[in-house]
Amino acid sequence: MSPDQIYGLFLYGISLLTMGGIYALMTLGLNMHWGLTGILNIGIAGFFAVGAYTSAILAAAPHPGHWGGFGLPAVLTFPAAMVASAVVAYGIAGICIRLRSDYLAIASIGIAEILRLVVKNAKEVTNGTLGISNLPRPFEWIPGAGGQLAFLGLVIVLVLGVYWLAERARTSPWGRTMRAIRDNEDAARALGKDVDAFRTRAFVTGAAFMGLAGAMTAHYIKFIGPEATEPLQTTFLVWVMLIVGGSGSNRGAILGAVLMWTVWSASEIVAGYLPAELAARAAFVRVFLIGLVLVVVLQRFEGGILGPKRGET
Amino acid sequence: MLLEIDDVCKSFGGLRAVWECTFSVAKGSITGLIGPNGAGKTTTFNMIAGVFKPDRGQIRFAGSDITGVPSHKLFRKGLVRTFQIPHEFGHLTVRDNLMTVPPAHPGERLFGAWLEPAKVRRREDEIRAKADDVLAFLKLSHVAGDPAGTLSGGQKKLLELGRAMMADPTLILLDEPGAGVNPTLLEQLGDMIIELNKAHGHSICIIEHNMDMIARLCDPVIVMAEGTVLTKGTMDEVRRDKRVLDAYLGGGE
Repeated sequence: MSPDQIYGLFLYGISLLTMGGIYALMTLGLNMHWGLTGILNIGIAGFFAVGAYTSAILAAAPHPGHWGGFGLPAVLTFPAAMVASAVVAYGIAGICIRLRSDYLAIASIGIAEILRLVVKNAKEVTNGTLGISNLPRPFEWIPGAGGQLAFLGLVIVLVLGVYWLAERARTSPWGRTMRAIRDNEDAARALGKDVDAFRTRAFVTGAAFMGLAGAMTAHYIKFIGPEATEPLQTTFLVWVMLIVGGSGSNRGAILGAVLMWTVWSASEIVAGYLPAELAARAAFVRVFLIGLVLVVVLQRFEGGILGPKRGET
Repeated sequence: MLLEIDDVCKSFGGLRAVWECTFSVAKGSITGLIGPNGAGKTTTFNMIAGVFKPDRGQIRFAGSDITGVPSHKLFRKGLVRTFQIPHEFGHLTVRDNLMTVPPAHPGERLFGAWLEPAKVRRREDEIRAKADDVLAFLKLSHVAGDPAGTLSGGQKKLLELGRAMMADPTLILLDEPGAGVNPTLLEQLGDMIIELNKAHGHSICIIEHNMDMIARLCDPVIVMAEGTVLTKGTMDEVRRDKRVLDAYLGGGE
């Protein structure tokens, strides 16, 4: 291998870990929803979009096509993205948190679709299908690979921070009460637990993590458009990641995110080597590969790689 | 009177489950609620405990109107119920089942869980000590670390009682605590309920089909049939009442 190729591989590795880390923020959020609380959220893309657009609008340079032009730094726009997703989640929880999990799932799909269509059609706010471009990426002033390395460092710090919050919550008396609610909701109510309030808090917290991931993605690729809110890239992948890693385990959530992002990303390279007649269907091959990995992993590990063993919680 | 049920009615579709039911539970008493299957006892319990809202009538607890107040708020007023079919938290350990109960735990808020570890640990230590006392009282210490789902039926009944004890309630509603419990354990369970009442000062209202247990524990006994109160008195008085016999045997029509 020539030095250029090695350098290219090095950069590829950085981008792989960066995106894997950003997905880990979402799987940690989903683990809060599903693994801990049993909320079947199939609207991850919605919270991702709210976070991404909030940060993009606040951080972008002035542009005649959309709102914004505040030029705020990431230090402000990332927390703002989390708050915006949390506020949206709180509003949704007020309407749907009492629904049983299958009904909640349908409601979450509906809400995510509404958000996607709003993003696409509220042209004066989001620039419609053209999206918001030229977003600043933190540390991009550092020359060479340094900027990307520093951004990866930021992602790692944020993943560790969110992991700490999620793990601390899971192992605390709060997490104990959440497990009690999952085991028997009626008993929890009879013992004074305000079940809806507990579930709302888990929902809002997980959504904030997803919003942060949205903001990170937008600034990393320096662009956000409606296609980023398609359910395949966010909702579907994030679910597969959590299930492969092990629903209920925060470490499993991170492992699943990095592992499946690697598979997803590598499958693009593999698809490049396909014979011409198949190349046109590369997108389907990639989804097929993800499904294959999911099945193989679940054959070996019933509850995901780091999830509960048979008979455990 | 600690608990007053005043002219309460509840129908499900065309079925009158409870009809113009009126009775009360005195502070410090162990009041028994008996009657044949389908008499409306558990429905009445569910209305008191905030699971169903009565169609009509009023329920008062410690002087305040609690008609239709949801379960988790009643708990904070000092009213706690157990379930006829054990509602254990199956994946939690027996000790954790008890430790989940005490309210206003700083670690039960996310803020506290994240930022007040010392405060949370102190409270956890207090609660663990209390849970271990309750486990010793219930003779469940040897299974403290087991998942509650693996307990026997009788042990789960004890656990139900234990969770109620953790709450330090004014009034405990026990829904068939003796059902499915073996005779030896039943004897113990009776002792425990008496001790809870005499030594710990909890007022208790029991639904039960085991008449020996009711006779031993309860004064007064309230008899329900067909959704309403048939009679009330000591167990001996109730036993001599012909209407009660008719209700149980389905005669007297």
